[in-house]
Amino acid sequence: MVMHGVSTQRWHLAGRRETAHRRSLGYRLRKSASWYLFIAPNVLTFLVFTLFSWVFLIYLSLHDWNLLGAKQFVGVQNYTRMLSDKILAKALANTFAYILMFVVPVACVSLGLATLVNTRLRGMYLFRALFYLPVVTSIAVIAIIWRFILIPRPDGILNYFLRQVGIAPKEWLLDPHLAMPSITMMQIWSTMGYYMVLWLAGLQSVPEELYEAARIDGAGRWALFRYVTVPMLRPTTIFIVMIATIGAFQMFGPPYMLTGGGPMYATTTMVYYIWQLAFGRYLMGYASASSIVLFVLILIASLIQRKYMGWSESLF
Amino acid sequence: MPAVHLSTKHDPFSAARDAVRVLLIYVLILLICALTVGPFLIMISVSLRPNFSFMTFPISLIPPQPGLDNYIRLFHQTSIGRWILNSVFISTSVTFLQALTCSLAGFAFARGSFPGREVIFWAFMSTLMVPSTVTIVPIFLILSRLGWVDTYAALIIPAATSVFGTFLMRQYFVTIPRDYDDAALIDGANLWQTYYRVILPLGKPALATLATLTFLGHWNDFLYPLIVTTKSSMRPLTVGLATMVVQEGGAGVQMAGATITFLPTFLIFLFMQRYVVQGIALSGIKG
Repeated sequence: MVMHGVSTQRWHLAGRRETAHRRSLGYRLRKSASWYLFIAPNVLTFLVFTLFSWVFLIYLSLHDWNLLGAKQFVGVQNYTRMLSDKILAKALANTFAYILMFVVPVACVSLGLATLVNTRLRGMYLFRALFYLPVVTSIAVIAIIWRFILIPRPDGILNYFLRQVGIAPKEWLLDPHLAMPSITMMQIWSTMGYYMVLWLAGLQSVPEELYEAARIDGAGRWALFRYVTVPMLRPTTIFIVMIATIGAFQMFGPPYMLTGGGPMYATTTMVYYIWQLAFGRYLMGYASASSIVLFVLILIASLIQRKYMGWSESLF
Repeated sequence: MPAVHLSTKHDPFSAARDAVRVLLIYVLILLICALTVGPFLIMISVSLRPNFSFMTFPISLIPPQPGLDNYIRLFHQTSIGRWILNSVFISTSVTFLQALTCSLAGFAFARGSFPGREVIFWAFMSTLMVPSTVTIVPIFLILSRLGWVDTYAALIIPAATSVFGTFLMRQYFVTIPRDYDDAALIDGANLWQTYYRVILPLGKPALATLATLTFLGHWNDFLYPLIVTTKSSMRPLTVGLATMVVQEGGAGVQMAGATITFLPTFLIFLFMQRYVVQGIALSGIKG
């Protein structure tokens, strides 16, 4: 673009020779040199830290390597090994259990929140901000707070409040049956504000005329919600369910901070297990193969999303 | 539903129903507020109790004799001063670098016409399909081969660019009328000058959104710094907090650390709230 004036000038001087020259790739590349400089940092980090890391991941998954010795090619052995790995099966089951316990509840709770704060009453901006607060807080901070709230003493904070409504004290993170639900509860608490904002954007994009028309037809509040809001929010719903799912596949911080994957592997998620394999047991090849399995699962989830929405919409 | 539909008819029953409804909404919202803000109040409250012990359960929210002893213990027993410096340095550097690289690349993708533009753009976009947690193993191995483990380079350079940020900037630059660039070009500006003098000033709102999300995201980042650092002195606050061993004071000292880690994100959110929410709503991707 900047060269425009210059190239017109040359056009007059060089005549037909320039026409051929202009079309050649070499000329166009030279003309675009500035643009390439502009994207150079992105291209460089993309090549080294993204593209190369993908290729390296696949390469590693076909090798056995404990960092000390030489890499040994083992073909698909890392993959066949998974079939008999009971902890991996447990980690997969835990991850899916977490997704089941987390995704739909967090979507419903955050929709409820969004509906509440979408009313035109005083102070709603403040409340929206307060509900969003846990989202801007690190998992390290959230986990420290919740470890305290979930203290398994009969007079621990959560147990204390539950006793007021007649519920017996629980051991929370120490109980294999309650550890994952406890983490799920914390995760819903800490992320609901994020989904609330996404729901709000969806709610505010529903044209007011639709509600007016439905009201004229005699629709009550519930009917408005059921027959106007819900169908109009379909794209938002799919989007939220999918990002929540993709995020849930990658849960790591809470088991790292709160349970160390226990008790009895009850909170060992896929990412936590991969982290243990790589950085606890130095099984780089096996950890890479497990990462690829995790990626394929996430990819399937993304493809399902793409099936229900357009490609461009699915990304953003 | 978009609004509380206040009755316009002079119907006393309807008006009363609306009043009850508004009251119910406030009661519900205040209850949820207590649930959302309560844990943070507990954090601050416990951090201010000089002699916290589990014997004091059930605890009151207001400390009987507030004091900063836990904060003093924290600075004595851990390298928290160093972690704070690390976090500030890493988050600030990453934010500046991303603001620069993403706006440059965003400008190129919004305005440039160069061979391979579409291919490169979609190659970048495809990376959003592969979550970063999937590549932790090869990334660690690449960084250790480069000799970058336990260096600021590992914590900053790979995060110096961002596909999400580039996309955000491109989307915003596309909305700026081309007349602005054309005017600059006619005045004899070159591409760099057009970027620096015209596009960048006009793109301030998008830059603010990007900077806020990037700073918060990197301040709060956990898995990545956990993997690329092994020395306590190289860790940011979040990882330091998660791995610290407290000899004395237990929960109180941990809560003091949590409060210190939380405070900057809280302040940034307080002042940049508009940009955070805008960024999330526009992109649907967590920064």
